[in-house]
Amino acid sequence: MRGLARRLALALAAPLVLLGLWLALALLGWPGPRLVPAPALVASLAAHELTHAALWRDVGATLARVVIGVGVASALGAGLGFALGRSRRWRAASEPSIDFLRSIPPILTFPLFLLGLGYGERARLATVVFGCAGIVLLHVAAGLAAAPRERAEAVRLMGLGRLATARHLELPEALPGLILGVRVALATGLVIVIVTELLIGAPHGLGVRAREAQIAYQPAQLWLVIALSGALGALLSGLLARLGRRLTPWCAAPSSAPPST
Amino acid sequence: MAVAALTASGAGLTAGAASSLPAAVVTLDGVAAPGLAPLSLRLTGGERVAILGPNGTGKTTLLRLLAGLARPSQGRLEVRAPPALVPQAFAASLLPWRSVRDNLLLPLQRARLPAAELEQRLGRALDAAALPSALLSRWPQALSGGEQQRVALARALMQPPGLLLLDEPMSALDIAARLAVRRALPALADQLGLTLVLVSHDVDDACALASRALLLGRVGQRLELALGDGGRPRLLRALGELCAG
Repeated sequence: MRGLARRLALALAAPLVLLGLWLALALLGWPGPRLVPAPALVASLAAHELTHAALWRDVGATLARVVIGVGVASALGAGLGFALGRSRRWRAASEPSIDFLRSIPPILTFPLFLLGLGYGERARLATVVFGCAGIVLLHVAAGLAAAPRERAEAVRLMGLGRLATARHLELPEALPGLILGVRVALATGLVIVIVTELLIGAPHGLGVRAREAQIAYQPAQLWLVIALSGALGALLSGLLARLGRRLTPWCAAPSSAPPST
Repeated sequence: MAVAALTASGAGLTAGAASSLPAAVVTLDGVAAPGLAPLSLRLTGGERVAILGPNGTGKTTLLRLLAGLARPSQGRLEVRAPPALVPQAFAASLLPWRSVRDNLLLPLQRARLPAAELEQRLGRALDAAALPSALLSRWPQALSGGEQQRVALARALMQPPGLLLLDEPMSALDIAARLAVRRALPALADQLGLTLVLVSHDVDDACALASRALLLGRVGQRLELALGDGGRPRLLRALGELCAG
């Protein structure tokens, strides 16, 4: 019980300090209400907006774009990363191309996709896939490439077939990297989706709401959008971390027991 | 019996029936590799040989060649039995996503043996490796180094292989486990007709597990000794001369 209270206190410490700082700045009137609106104003706006469907429609639109985009990127990146991770030669051959592609800011490809795919969701989705597939690819390939040689050799000497080797060795070897890659990709995907929503072509979304709030001089609304974006990212990351712990129980504390077979 | 032959020409692995061949399980004819000076050796089925010598004389390389994990740069190598290897980096060879039990059963994945046969082999391997069955339900990474080494040894005994290759297999074991393995492993090897190649720096391990020793020197010297009565002092003397020379 005492441990739980201690963990709760630690978890709440940073948000409480930030809230105190925010309150102090608002009371001092510095740097001004356009940048730092009063917490009470943002709280009352949140209480109002959270009960209205319009906000949830925007959250839902952004969430759907992130999940679909990162989902497609993960499938693509995992497949390519798996192929590259298994072959040193392929990895060496593709390294310069991967370095080149991942140096391109993904958002720069959005105008190109708008021209090529039209002013709709496909261009936004393509930008997310372009920005996130490489992240997943690199994590999966790195996970496989970093695996100790002794494990692969032990399985090779057992005479398992290709399919059994993929199932019993390579897939579990790649799984922690895949989960970590998808977590990183989710954060990047959220950034790309919101930036593309800010720019053009979306009827709904947190980015659209932020753009409209900026045009209408509503800093409290902007703070609400910023907080919701952070909460959305943290929620997705937390869910994936939970899923990861379930799928890769061997990565947890060694004292944990394997599932009984 | 399966036959695997590797040649320096890179012709690679060949397989086929060899029912009328002599009983040699391993034949090395002037085999060399990076780190290993030319070596000729012949091992018959059921023989147990210890490889000793200073660091850097190619002992581990020799085991990797016998396991088919490396290719000779010259000479002819023939292995007529399925190999199993307990590597020096034993901990890294275990699959951390499988329990100890599942690690041990993996080599039998393709055999589709009845449950009773699996349990019998499991029990036999646990005994020979002095591994308590209470550890079967644990993650390998949750075990101590010595326990992990015994898991790797038990896994190698599960198939069972025709050729058991052990690279310092007791380096992490406490004295009780070491004595237990010294007692049980030769008995199991005799029972199953295993050919055993042991790389070790421990003269007592070598004398307990092997019936002859092959000493490798830094400048390509080779010395073969029979172990058995009076084997230990002979081996110590020979090792001393080899290291001094």
